[in-house]
Amino acid sequence: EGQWSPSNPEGKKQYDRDFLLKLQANPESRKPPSLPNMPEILVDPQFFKME
Amino acid sequence: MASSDTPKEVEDVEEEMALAGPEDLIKHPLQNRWAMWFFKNDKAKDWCDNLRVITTFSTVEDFWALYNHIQRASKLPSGCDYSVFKDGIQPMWEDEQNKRGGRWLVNMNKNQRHHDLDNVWQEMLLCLIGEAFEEQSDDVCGAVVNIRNKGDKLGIWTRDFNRQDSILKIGRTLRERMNMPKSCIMGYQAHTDTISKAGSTVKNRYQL
Repeated sequence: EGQWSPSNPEGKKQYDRDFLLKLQANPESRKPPSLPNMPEILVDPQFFKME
Repeated sequence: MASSDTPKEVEDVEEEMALAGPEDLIKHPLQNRWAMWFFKNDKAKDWCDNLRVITTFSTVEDFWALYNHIQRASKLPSGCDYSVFKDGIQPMWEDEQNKRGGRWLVNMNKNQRHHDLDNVWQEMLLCLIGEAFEEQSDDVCGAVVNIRNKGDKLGIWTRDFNRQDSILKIGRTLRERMNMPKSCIMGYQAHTDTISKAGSTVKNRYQL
């Protein structure tokens, strides 16, 4: 019941827009993911303006 | 500062720190696992061979790590698509979860590619991963952005075009989140109608 949190691991995993946007610049969100070799779409993240 | 206040304040700070700890260590899990796909229109290949999974993700941080490292939709060449679907659903009409479904369609004119396209696509993705559609979430299959010279398109795909109440609720949430002007009409089209369309217009099953 209620919203997920580390202390409520069974809670509903629902996140509003502001919360999601806040996490965009987190260290974990900046780590390069392991992706297949797709040169058409891979870019240097510095092109993105972090909020 | 009265000394009698101090212990309480220290306690509060300690409690906050204890709460902040796990938040920093644990990534935020999503309700669903999602797959992101890329389609490139290479006429030398079959349609299916042009469609590739980029990766799957199931936390907010992994979503952003992907999003932060791939090209913006507006920078893709014409004929390309990005799709984000619940893991296990392929971004095509033929999939078991899509074949009775349809999509809320957002048409963009050419001028909107530089101003609105990336924002609307990002908003759609945040709706999906954040579970903005609430009780209607089970009806949602995914989202697609089609980059086309004649006009870009965005769609939220749902699994059953007969589920009117749910589809309308999803559409209303979408309009609200996209800040769509009241004058702008958004249509819901069944995939079967899109496949068998005669001419260039597909009728809207629902409109908002």
